[in-house]
Parts: sequence; C-alpha cells; structure tokens
Amino acid sequence: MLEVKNAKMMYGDLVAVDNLSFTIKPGDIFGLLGTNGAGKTTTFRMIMGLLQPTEGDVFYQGEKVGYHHVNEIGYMIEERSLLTKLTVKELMLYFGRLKDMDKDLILRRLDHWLDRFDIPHYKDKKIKELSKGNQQKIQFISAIINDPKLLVLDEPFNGLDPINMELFVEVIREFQDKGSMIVFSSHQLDKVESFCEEIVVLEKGKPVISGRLDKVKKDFKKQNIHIDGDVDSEHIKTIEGVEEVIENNNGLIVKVKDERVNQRVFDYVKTVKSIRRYEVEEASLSEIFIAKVGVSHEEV
Amino acid sequence: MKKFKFLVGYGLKKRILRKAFLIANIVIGVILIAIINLPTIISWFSTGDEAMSDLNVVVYNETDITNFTDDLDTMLNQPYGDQVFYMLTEEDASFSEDPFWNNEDKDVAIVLTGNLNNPVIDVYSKEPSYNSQIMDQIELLLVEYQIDDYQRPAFNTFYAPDYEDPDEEMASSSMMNIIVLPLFILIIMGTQFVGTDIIEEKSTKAIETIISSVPAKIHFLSKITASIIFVILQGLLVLAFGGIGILIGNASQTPLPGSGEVHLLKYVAELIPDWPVVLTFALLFMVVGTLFYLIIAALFASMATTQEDYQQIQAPLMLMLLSGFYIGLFAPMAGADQFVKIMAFVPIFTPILAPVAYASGAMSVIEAVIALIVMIGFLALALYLVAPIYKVAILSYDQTKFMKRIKSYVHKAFVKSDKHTE
Repeated sequence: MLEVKNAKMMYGDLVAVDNLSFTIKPGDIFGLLGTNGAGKTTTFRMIMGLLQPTEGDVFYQGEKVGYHHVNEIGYMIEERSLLTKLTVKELMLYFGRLKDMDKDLILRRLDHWLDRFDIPHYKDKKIKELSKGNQQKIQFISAIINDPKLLVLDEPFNGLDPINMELFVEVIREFQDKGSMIVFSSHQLDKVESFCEEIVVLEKGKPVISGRLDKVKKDFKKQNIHIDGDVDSEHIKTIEGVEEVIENNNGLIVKVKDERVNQRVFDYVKTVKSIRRYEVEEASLSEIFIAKVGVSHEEV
Repeated sequence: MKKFKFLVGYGLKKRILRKAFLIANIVIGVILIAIINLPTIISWFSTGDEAMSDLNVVVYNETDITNFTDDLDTMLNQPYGDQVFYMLTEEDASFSEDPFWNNEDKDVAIVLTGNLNNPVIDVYSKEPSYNSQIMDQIELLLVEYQIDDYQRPAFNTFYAPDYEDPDEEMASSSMMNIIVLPLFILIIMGTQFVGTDIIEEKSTKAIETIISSVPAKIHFLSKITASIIFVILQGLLVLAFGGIGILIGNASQTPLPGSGEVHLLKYVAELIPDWPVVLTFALLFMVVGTLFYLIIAALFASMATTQEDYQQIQAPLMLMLLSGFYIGLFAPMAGADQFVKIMAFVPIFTPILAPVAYASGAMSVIEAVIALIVMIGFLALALYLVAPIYKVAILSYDQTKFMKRIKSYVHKAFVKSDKHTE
C-alpha cells in the first residue's frame, strides 16, 4: 500500500505541493491530474522517494519511502528519457542493472516484452533509429522491466496510435491484476476516466478534487441530459436550474445544476410530440476539471 | 555500493572501449614520442648543405710534444668532418684567461701542459658545442703519440663567464612541456568526459530514470570516480608513451666517440636531479587537481540543460585551465619564478603550476606539501558545497540566466537541504 499523508513540498519559499493526502492499495489505478506546474512531477518524485516532503510523509508498504524501495518501483516520465546512442539491449541492461537485476533476467524479460510489443527485431537497434511510437514502447518496457509493485506512469500514451494505446492499456491492466499499484497521469481525460478508480486533481500544488471517481462525479452534482426530439431549446433554457443548452447533430445537450432539475426538464419533454432519445449522465471528468481548475486540461 | 560499483564500471567501459579512446591515445603517443625525440627528428630534416664556418683555435703548447698543432689541424679538418673549418694557430706566450675571453678573434684556446705521459688539456671555449669534437680528436692524437703506453689525458673545460647553454635552455623549455602538457591534457580529458557524460544523460532526460534508481549523490560520486580512474589510467599510458619515447630515442642515437647522448631527457634529468620526487608530486597534484576540476565540471553539467548550454557554462573553467597552462609554460622561461610560486598556491592553478614551481626550484618540498594540503582542503570544500547543489540541479531544467539559476540552486540546496533524501 502507498500512503501519502498531508504531504507538503517547498522549494525555498515556493510551495510546490500542499497538504496532499491519498492512499493507493494493491491493484488500484490512481489518476494524478493537474495543469503544468501544478505539482505532479514533485508528487511523483515524493512517491518514489526522490524527494522527502517538507511536511507530512509518504509510506510504502508501511515504511517511509526511500531509495531502498526503488527496485520495486517502475517509472515512466512524460518526455522521452532514453540514451539515444545506445541500442535497446544496452539501454535495458543499463537501466535494469540500476534496479539490481542480473543480466540474464534483464535479457529474458526484454525478449518477452519485445515480443509482446511486436518489436523483437529492434533489440540491437540504436534508440535514435526507432520511431517515436517505438521509442515510447521501449520507455514503457524500461519502466516495467523490473516487474514493479508500484508503477508510476506520467503520460504513458503520448505518441501512440490507437492500436498501441490499447496494447499499453492491456499491459497496465495485467499489472493491475497482478496486484501492482499504478499511479497514472494523462492529458487524455477520457482515458483517465475509463482507467482510474481514484483521482486527485492538483492546482498550484493544492488538491482541488480528490477521491473515488464515481464519488467525485456524484459530489459534483451537475449532470448532462442528451435529448433528441422535437423540443424547443429556447424553452428549455428558461427552466430553472438549466445552465446551458448545446445544440449538435445528435440533438441537444442540456447541462443542469443538479439532479433535481432533471424532473423539470423531463416534465417538459413529456409534453412534446416526438422524443427519440432522452438520456441522463453524470458530468464528464473533463467538465469537472474545467469547473474546478478553470481551464481545459488539453489547453495546458 | 553495488550500484556505485556498477556505475563506475559502466562509466569506465564507456570511455575505454571506444574507438575515440584508441585514436586519442595513438595521437597522444605519437606527439609525446615526437616531443621527446625532437632533436633527432630535426636532424632528419637537416640537409647538410649549411655553409662552412670558421672556428679560430689557438693552441698553447707548454709540453715537449712537437707538431701537436699541425697534427691536430689535420685531424680536425678531415674531409668528413663538421660544417666548420678549424683555423689553428699556435702561441708561444703563456695563456692568460681574461685577454682570451675579451679577444673577439679567438673562439677556442687549447692549453696543453704536463708531458706526453701525463698530459693535461685545458679547453677554454666560447663555442662549447665543438668541445666534444675537439677533445675527441686530441684524445685520438694522443693515442697515436702514446702508442705503447696509453695514458688517458686529463681534460678541463672552461666556458666564457656570460655563456648560456642553448641545450640547457632547450631542456628547460622541454621540462615545462613534459610536466605541463600531460597535466593539462589529462585534466582537460577528465573534465570533458565527466561533463559530456552527465549532460548526455541530462539532455536526453535519461537522468530522470537513472536518478529514480540511484541517489543523486551516488550518481555524482560514481561519475567523478570513473573519470579519475580513467585519468590515472590515461596518465599511466602517457608515462608508458614517455618510456617508449626514451627507448626509441636511445635506440636511434649513434653517438660519436666520447660525445655522450644527445637526448632531451638527459638534460631534463640533469636539470631535475630529484625527478622521482617531481614525478610523485606531479602525480599527486594531477589526481587532486583533476578531482577538483571534475567536481566543478560535474556541477556545471548538472546545472546545464543541453549540450550547447553546457559548452557555454564550462567556458570559464576551460579559460582557467588554459591560463594555468600558459603560465606554467611561459612564466618559468621568462624567469618569473616568484610569480609561478605565488600562483601555485592559488588552488585553481595549483594542479598545473605547483609541479612546475617545484621542478624549477622556485618552490621547496615543504612549500609543495603546503600547496598540496591547501589543494586537498579546497577539494574537500568543493565536494561539501557541490554535492547538495548537484542533487538539486541534476533533476532541474531551469532555463533562466545562469547566475539566477546558480542562486536558485544554492538556495534550494542549503535552505532546507536536510529535507532531501540521500
């Protein structure tokens, strides 16, 4: 289990992370979201024991996290972090040995993962000769080569096509099934939404949203009603509690303040002649993010 | 410790098992061997067409040996002789030293005293480079005279009071080259290696993955250790090249009878009779000095974000090294021994200048030891200050102006530095 308890990190006078708390249990996928500079990287570094919080603590398997745990942790950073002059094999041997793995084990696992990602012929190729997507695969393999119990993934899907993205998802799910704890950050909020059970959204170092995703959505209260039928959008806008009505090719999306407004909208809809679709859904993570942080996650 | 050993081994292999290392050593070897054998090489390009010059030799024969001057004239002016014509004259008067030195028409005076069985030959020379040839021929002549009972003559040589030996000057210059050049090359190699190694990992962001596996302090110390081991190995190779140079030099010499070897190292050895001590000091200063420069290079590399950035940041370091190199090379030749001595106590110049100051006699053993202790203290201080800053800077990609960056890193390193994990 990984526990972050009231963690605060200061760089001189700058507060990078303030009063952050969350717990990740084995088999959990945890989403850490925030705009650039919100404190995600600092949080990742605290989680991995690279930085000790100025206040509060981070516990891994019941003890304070530190360098003695790094062999059980896999880390994939947002940007490419590969020594491009080395071959895939040389790089994996280098990174694997830094995790105290022996050479045979590294090579065995490398062969396994290269096969799994369908790039076995790249083993002796230099990193710089590989495409962006394949470099991303190598970077991912370097994070999981030590079979980590805690996997920290910062933007793992960058530069991947949909097929390879699904492959990554499959592998991450396998680690989840094995009981690994996965901390995950992504600008693709739909992925986070489909992936994570629990999230924290940081803004200027402070957690503005925190908890289980379903609860976060429920607590947010706002809902969206999809309507396709002979309705008068101008009339809907006048219903109390309706915040916005968006017209698109599939009909209308009515954004309502909370679930109590649904009944008023439904009462109106019942009066019209033809309705092809009426569907109520909770607000998306993206909407919650914008509402709480003030900007779209993709814009940052 | 396991990771530290692995990183040191990895760093060493990365440097040594490379074509660049092989090529660099071939170049260094060739240059060093060439410098050591410079006079021999110059002589290969001598055309032998130099114009004949005259050498006025006056003979004072105070013995009963007859025809000595004529016979010596014949011996010295043989057709295969030097590019000089020996014009011999004989004086009946007794030799007087001061008038001879003041007489511009006379170059060499040979004063023959004693008798045939116990001859004593005093050679007064304004051109000592011809002494060995003249003395060889006198000896051969006496061998002929003493055919039944050869007695080795006693030779005494005297130089003009204002005479400056060009060989000695050349040897002095060579001494500076031999001490300063390898030190400079080794320190440059070490700093370049450690700097480019770190910046390569940092600019590719691979450092993020590496530092997530090993503490920054271990990473820093492993880089320094691998580089210093590399520099020591390279230093030993330089010494080996020097040894090969001497062997080649000795093998290529064809000394004339009694002339001895014409070899730069011989003069250097004469100039530095305690060369083993000088060598020991040079090695100690090389290790301590290189460590200091490695620490600074590692710090600069950790503060840089790209290769270009590092090249700019390290420029002052290279200038400091270059200044030390030029001071070490030219100041002793200009006779500025005191200046060299003072500068040798400035830690940034100590590694290069202290061995030079000691070798040239400007610095005593005690002073050299003090300079070494000061340098070690400075090194410890650098290590104490740099390690925490390195830890902060290595994972930072701050692109602000360099001075602002330094201020920020120092602030982060020493304000609440105890909060960072080891």
